[in-house]
Amino acid sequence: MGKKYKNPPIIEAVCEFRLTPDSPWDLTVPGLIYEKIKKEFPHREQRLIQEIELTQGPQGLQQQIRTQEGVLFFTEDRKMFVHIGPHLLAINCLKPYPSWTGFQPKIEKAFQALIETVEEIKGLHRVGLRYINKIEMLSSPIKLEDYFEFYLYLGTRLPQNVANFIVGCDFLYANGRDQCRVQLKPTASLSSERPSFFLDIDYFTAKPNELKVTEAINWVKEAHNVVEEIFEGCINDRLRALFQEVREDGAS
Amino acid sequence: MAQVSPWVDSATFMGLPSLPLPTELLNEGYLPSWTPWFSKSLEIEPGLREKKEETGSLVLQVWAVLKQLQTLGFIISRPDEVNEYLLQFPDLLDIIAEIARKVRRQFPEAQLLLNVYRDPEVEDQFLVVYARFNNYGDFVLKKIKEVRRGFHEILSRRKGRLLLTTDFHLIENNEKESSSPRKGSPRALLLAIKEAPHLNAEDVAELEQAIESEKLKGSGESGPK
Repeated sequence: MGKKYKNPPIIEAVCEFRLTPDSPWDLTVPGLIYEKIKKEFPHREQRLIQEIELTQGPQGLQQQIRTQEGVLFFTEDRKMFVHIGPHLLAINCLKPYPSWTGFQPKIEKAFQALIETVEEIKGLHRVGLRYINKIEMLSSPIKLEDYFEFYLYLGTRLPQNVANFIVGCDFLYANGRDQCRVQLKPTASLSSERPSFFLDIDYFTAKPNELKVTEAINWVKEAHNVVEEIFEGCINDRLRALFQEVREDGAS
Repeated sequence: MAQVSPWVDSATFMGLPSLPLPTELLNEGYLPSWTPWFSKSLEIEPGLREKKEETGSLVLQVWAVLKQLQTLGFIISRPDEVNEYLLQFPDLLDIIAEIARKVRRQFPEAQLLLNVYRDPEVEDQFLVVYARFNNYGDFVLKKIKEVRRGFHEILSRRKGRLLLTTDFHLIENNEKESSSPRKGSPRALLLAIKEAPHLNAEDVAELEQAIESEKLKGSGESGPK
């Protein structure tokens, strides 16, 4: 069980399932899923999504744009939505995060609707559970090492005035089947009065087709445990104090 | 030979049709200051395909779009409000940067401000882009109308709303002052329109109508509450 905070920094949590391309999929799928989840996600909207792909060809850098039509099903307060695209189902949860006990049932419901609708799912191409935290400091300048256990280290011979940075690491899990990508980066200029940072934790299956559909929900629960551990591993007590930990006895 | 960093920022790759392509940004001189991977000397391993392989985040897409608009010179004095609006109405995400680029291209000399327009009387809100100039001639309003007409249709199919207009203030150097809440308020805007030089009654009526029209959309089923 992870720690609880009065002011948690989570601004978005996402759980995403991508099916293998050989899984059956047609235009009726979003509507059929909607019928199963419309009580929780009543507002339906279309959205165009394009992906940019860069390829180095003989003529140099080439860009390809692929457009996909997506459908979003929002909750009444629009703070959570299910995103359906070709071979894709994602559940996004915006701030305020309703805790894992509030988010997990929605993931299960949406995924259940998917597997009931697409009966012959051939496999899972990728599954991801991602938490975006926005950590706002109270003053400037700050030393990252005063607040984080995961930060940019600069040797003494390097300039110490940093305009911008990004720190990232892919941790391996489950014998390499899964990875957890952790990134820390400023949200805006480091020279602003109150610097803030994105602490982005994305746990995902790194190898297609190795996770069985029947194991997906358990995988998500385990992924959540890892994300919690990683989050706690990235911060120190000064940040915990900023988030105001709520202890079991109710004290903060 | 350098490889594209796996830490490539969502701002430049994630599913947004309206984001300018990296080379386009370079050509226009709008290299995002914090994504040094797209330097002109960038080389990529032959055949390497940098493809989105991350769990999709709406928050980071919105953040990327806001960075994009700032790169285009838009002043967003209250980014938290604009951010919140785009999170509520993500159907604007695939078009807003494209609209912003068109507006910037049409008004290279203008100061452009992006705000959330709030009307407390009807609890309505929508995005508004104010184009400010040092000189307001007749041509300004005509051109604003023309540009607005250019994306009217695509916006009409979205739940999120965006209005291009002007508040008839002169370009100010102090960004904080130029976008103070007082000047951006509905009452101040309507007053500014009525008092603006070079405006005939027809122009005033049309500007007021544009604002009212957005407000009316907001009072309907599809609008924000």
